This record gives sequence, C-alpha cells and structure tokens, in this order.
Amino acid sequence: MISVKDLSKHYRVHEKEPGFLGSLKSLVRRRHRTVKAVDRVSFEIAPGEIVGFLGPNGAGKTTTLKMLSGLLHPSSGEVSVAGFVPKRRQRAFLSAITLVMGQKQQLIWDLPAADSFLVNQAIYDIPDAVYRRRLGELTEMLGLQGLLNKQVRKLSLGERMKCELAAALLHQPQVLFLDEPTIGLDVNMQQAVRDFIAGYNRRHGATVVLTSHYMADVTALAKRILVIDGGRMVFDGDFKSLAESIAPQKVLKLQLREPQPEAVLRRYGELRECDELRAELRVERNAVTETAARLLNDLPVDDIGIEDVPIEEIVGKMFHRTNAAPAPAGRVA
Amino acid sequence: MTRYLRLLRIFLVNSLQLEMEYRANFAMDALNALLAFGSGLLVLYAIFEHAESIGGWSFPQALALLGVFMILEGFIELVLYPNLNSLPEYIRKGDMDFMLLKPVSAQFLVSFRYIRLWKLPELATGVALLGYAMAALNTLTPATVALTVVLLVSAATIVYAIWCMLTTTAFWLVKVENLPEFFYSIFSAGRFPVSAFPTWARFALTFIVPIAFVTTVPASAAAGRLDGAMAAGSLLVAALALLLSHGLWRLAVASYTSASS
Amino acid sequence: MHRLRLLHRLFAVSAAETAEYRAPILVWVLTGTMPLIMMMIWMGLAKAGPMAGYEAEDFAAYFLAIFLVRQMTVCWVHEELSREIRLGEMSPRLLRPLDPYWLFVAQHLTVAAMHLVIALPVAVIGFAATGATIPLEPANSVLFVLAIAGAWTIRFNMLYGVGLLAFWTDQAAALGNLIFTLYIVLGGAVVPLDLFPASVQQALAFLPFAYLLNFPVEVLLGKLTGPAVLRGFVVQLLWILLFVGLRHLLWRNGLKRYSAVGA
Repeated sequence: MISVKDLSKHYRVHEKEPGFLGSLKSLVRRRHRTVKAVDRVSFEIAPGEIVGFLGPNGAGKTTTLKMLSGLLHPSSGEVSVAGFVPKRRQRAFLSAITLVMGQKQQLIWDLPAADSFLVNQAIYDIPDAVYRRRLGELTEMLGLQGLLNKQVRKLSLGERMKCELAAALLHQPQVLFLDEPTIGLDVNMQQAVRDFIAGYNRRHGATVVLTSHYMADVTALAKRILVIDGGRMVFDGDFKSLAESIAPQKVLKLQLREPQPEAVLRRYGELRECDELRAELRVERNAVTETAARLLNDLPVDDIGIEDVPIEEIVGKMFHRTNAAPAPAGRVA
Repeated sequence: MTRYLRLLRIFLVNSLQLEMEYRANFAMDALNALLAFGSGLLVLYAIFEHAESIGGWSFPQALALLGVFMILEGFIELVLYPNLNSLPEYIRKGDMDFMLLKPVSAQFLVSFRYIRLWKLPELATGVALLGYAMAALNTLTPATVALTVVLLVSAATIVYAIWCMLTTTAFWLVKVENLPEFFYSIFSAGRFPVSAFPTWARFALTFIVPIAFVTTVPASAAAGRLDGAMAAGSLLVAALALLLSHGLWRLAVASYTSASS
Repeated sequence: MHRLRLLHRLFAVSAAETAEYRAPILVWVLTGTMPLIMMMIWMGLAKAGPMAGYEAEDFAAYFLAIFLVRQMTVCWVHEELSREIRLGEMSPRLLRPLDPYWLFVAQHLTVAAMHLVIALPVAVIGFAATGATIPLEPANSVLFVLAIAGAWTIRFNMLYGVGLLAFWTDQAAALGNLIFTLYIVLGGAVVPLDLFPASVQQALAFLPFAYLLNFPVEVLLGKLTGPAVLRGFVVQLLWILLFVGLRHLLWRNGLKRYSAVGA
C-alpha cells in the first residue's frame, strides 16, 4: 500500500546572528545550514496494517506524514501511496487518503458539525444514500448522537475530535494518516479514539499510519512501530520486543509530605531525581504495583504517579546501543 | 463543474446560517450603505454645483458610475474581503493544508468559502442607484441592461483576479499582508470616469491597474456612451487576468509544498 | 520622574516595534492616496477656470496638505481595542499598574512618525510636480503643529471611546469604520469644505470632523485670519475635553462590566 525508499527532506536555513550587527553581517554574506528533517527513511506498509510512528518532538514524524499525503515535496527518494505519487496530488489520490491533525481542525467553528459534513460530501462527490449510510455508521461507532447539531465551538475538545474524525472519514479513504490524534485529550477520550481507530481498521481494512509521542497510543493500536529520531529511522519492528528490551522499567513519581533521605528512597528502586518533597524512581515493570503499594504504606506519600519511560530516553538508549546508525527493519540487537 | 456549483450553493447556505448569528451586522451595514450612498451623492452635488460635467460626464451619467462603483465595492466586501484576505491566516494556522488535501481546486475553496451576506445592502443600493440613473438616461432597455451586466461580471472577474494575485504573495512575503488594501485605495479612483484624470493617470488606470475597465466601462454601457474597443478590451483583460491569477496560484502552492515544514 | 522614565521606555519599545513593521507601513501610507486622487480630479475640473476661488495650484496645495495631515493623524485604535476586548486579551493589560491608554498612545505616535517619514518625500514630489506652494511663515508653521496636535488628540480619544464600546457591543469596529467615512467626507478630504453648499458648511461647524482635517490645513495654508484661528483652537479644545471626558466615563463603566461578566 505504502512504499517509501530513501525518503529525505532537507531544508536550507539561513543563519543569522542576533542583534543589529548580525543583521548587517547577514546582508553581506549569508551563512547556510542544511537541516535534515527526514534522512533516508525506507519502509513498506501492507494494506490493512496499522503502523505507529514514534519519536520525540521534532524527530521528523509530521514531516514524513506530510510527504506521504502530498503536502510536502520530498528532497529526494521515492514515495508511493495506494499506487500514486503523493506530490502529484491527483484527484483520485486525494480521494483515497485522509489526514487528521490533532489540535488542528477543518470543521467550521460557528456552525454545527453536520454542516461541515455536507461540505465534504459535496467535495468528495458522495451520493446521498451512501453518505447517509456512512454517517450513520460513523455516528454509531463514535457516539456522535446529539453532537452533530450543536455548534462546533460549543463542543468539548474530545467531542470536537470525534467530529473531526467523522468528517475525515466520510469519503471512506483507504489510507488514514493520523498526526497526534489524541494530543490534548483526557484519558477516557484517548481510549475512545483508539478504540474507534482499531474498530474502523477491522471493519474497513483501511491502512493506518499514526504518529504520536504517547507510547500508549501506539501500544494500544499498532503491532508494528517505526521509531524516528533526528530524521533517521532507528527501529522498525514489533512493539513488544522494543518495549521489553529497551524499556523494562516504569517511572514512579512521588509527591511527599515530608522530605525523605535519598538512602531510604533508594531501597525502592533506582533513584533518578530527589528534590525536597518530590522524587522520581525507576522500577522494573512487573514490580511496579507492589513497589507503589509498599511506598504508600511505608512513607508519607501524598501522591504517586506511574508513567512510562519517556520516548526520548528509550530512543536515546537505542541510539546508544546501535552506535547512532540507522537500524535495518527487524529487532534491535 | 456541477461539483463546484453544488459547493457554491452550500457555501451560500452556510454563510446565510452564519450571518443569522449576527443580525446586528446586517443593520450596521444597512446604515453603512446609506452613508456611502449619501456621501457619494454629496460629493457629486458639490462637484456639479461648480462644474457642468466631470471628464465629459453629465450628472446622471456620474450617478450611473457611482452605482457601478457601489456594486463592485459590495462585491469586494461580500466575496473578496472575507475569503482571500484570510489567506495569510490559513497558512499560519494550518487550514491551508486541509484545503490542499481536498480533491477540488484549493483556489476555489479559499476564494468562496465565506460569503458575507450581510454586506448585501451596499450592493443592493448600488443596483438601485444604477437602475435609477439608467431610467433617467433612458437607457433602461433589455439590450443595454444585458450588456451592462456582462461588463459588470467582466469587471468583477478583473477585480477578483487582481485581488487574488496580491493575496497569493502571502505565500512568499510574510509581513506585507495588507497589499490588497493598496489596491482597494487605487480602486476608489473608480468613483470617477477615467477621462476626468490627467493623461498619465489615465494611462496608469488603463494599463497598469485596469480600474478603467472595472468601473468606467460598465458605466459607459449603462450610460449609453460605450466605446466598443474598451468593451472588447474588458473581456480580454478579464480572461487574461484570470489565467494569470491561476498561474500565480499554482506557482505559490508549488513553492509552499516544497518549502513549508 | 518614574513617570517620565516609563514614558521614555514605552516610546523606545514602540519605536523598535514600529521599525520592524516598515514594509507594511509603507503599504499603509500608499493606501492613503485618496486625497491625491481627489487632487487630480479637482485640478482637472479647474482647468476650465477657477472654482470658488480655487485655481488648480490651490487645489494641489490643499490636497497635498490634507494627505500629510491624514498621515500624521493615522488612527486605528478602535479596531485594536474592539479585538482585544472581544478576545479577552485586555485582561493581561489590566493586571499591570498602567492604563493601557498610554501604550496605545506610544504606539500610535511612533507609527505616525514613521508614516510622516515615508509620506514626506511623496508630498515633496507632489508639490514639485504640480507647482503648488505653501506660504511657509514661521507663525503659521507653529500654529499648524498645534492644530495637528489638537486634531490628533480629538481623533485618538474619539476612536478610543468607540473602541471601548466593545465592552457593550460587537459592532464597535463597524461603528468606527462608519465614522471614518464621515470623517473623510465631512472633514474635507474629498471636497474642500469651501465648496460645499453654504447650508452644509454651517452644519459642519457643529461636528468635530472639520477640525480634524480642514482646520489644520487652512492654518498651514495661511487662509485664516487671527480671530478665525483662535475660534478654531477654542472649538478644538472643547472637542478634546468632550472626548477625553467620554473616554474616562466609558473606561470606568466598561471595566465594571468587563469584570462583572468575567474577563
């Protein structure tokens, strides 16, 4: 479905020193720097696959997605999506894909979502009967009852996201590009969106490429993940092995009522940070709940938070292990 | 083609619904139209109190010109201002990306999404004034009306194309988003027949910024003093301008998709 | 002393900001071409003979002066205020111990200065091309500066008040634009007020607009006698007092309403 070979995107950036002198200097001689937003990325995605793109901010995920959807021309390399060359933006190609961007919306703000849907119906030339059927299906899957006739500006962020998703899928595209779809949503809504995407993929066999910097998005949906960092692909394979080998730990964040000596905290796990009433521990995954219970029991803990190891750390560790060379598809050594 | 007509109808319906929210706008604009009409008239009165004609145009002919001007000003406020002027914002907020992803002309989407229906009073006042002037000039015949309408459409096309080209520069130039305002101020010269201006200005208003074709030519038709060459010229300029604007648009989009992050 | 330093700082920052906006300001100056267009029209009409005592060069001098006055009294504060109040951007301003009025004043004065810098060469070219002249007597020049200051103050406070109406209505910006149309026509930027029918001229004496454009221009061109000049300044002063008073009233009441509704 999607085939990418040595895809790259370079930007030439002018470097200007700050201040008035810098402005003068840049008038006389411009210094250029090449930013490699995406650097020789290659992968293949089969129809119906759900693939997760993981990576820290600025890694090149969104840039890659924009190249796949035709919004950006690659600097070099080959891309093919559903048999089309994206940058040509042919009508049939645009009708076969959709791009949803978290926190950016295409719905008209002051009108009910239903009116924006009608615009899309006209744009994608969807016959009335087909449109009604699809709208019914999406309403059921996303729980849109009662939302469609309220003005978009009166909906909550989560409700808006659901309507956005519906608007993006009215034309039943074969390929879904989702850029940070759960960003800013509360935990319940994130789950709902994930469930929806999984359900949609099951029902229609659509290929899904999803970017996120939340591990949970990807764990829930994708069996296969691609990790991008600094524009390079550093991992392409299944998730379980990545998580278990690279991040066998979880992060425990403590809010204490009274400061505790570091030695005491170290008995519970690897102490990462300790600052008056706050502390951060690393604990093995399978020992997390037990350790948390013990901490609550033994120490004056006000609040406890359990989080995943940040992506940056995982990827950083990966880089460390693979000597900063892009890894071929498969597991990390 | 039908797809675009259908879209236009939906944009109109949506715009109508949006405007229902803001009825006060309509009342305000009715007041504005009255004021524009009143002040335009006052200026003509003042001029004709001291002169027999302006650039060879009589008072009723000048009224026809004012009517044409108000119609086109209404068109600018109805269609151009609420859409093309938002282009820099669309680019900044990412709405441009959504438009480029649709399998229809992005230029069309950007140009006609919102039609400020509450600006109709000014356009309607212009039509009424034009009708009145034509009646006074005994030119209210089907043939003349048809010709005037054709030339008005041609004029609107020219204005659209110029406005579009000016706003398209927003893809490259970041700060000078107010370029269309510059055009708007030159456009105000269209209140007067091009013959009222000194020769060098006449040249500029015909060949550089073709305001002559925009107001003087349709008004000439309505006033029964049409120059056939100018009429043909208007249609030619409209076609050329439209082609140019689309070409520039495509160039701009190509540049945007290469350079943006 | 603190006040003085604050004002100095405000102006310095405004000036730096304004310098960044040279390019769009150039375009804004170019959008003020209406007086120049009118100049060409009236000069064309005067070719046949003087109109109400105006020869072609008189029209040229008049409209070039109007052009300069307009550039020096440029004001868009009603749009800014209306937007800030509507979008809730006024709130952070209210947390500081400085009336936002002064920020807008600083901004407008530095922008007006930039406008003048760009407009002056245009005016000079205009004078050279049309052969118009201004009798540059020192007394008139001083009075002109005073008249401009008065015009600026009236216009700024008037539009500031209109902007403050945004506390009550979302039509404030539209109202400001309506006033602009009146200002242009009834202030003498399209037709020199001398050429309006006598009845109209009498009515205009009761409105502020004539004192924003026509009055400073007539002072500069030396067309007013001593008593007339004095009368003009007195009327300007009255309008200033009225609009400043109105502004204070609207600000106090508007704030009450703003905080009641929830910023």
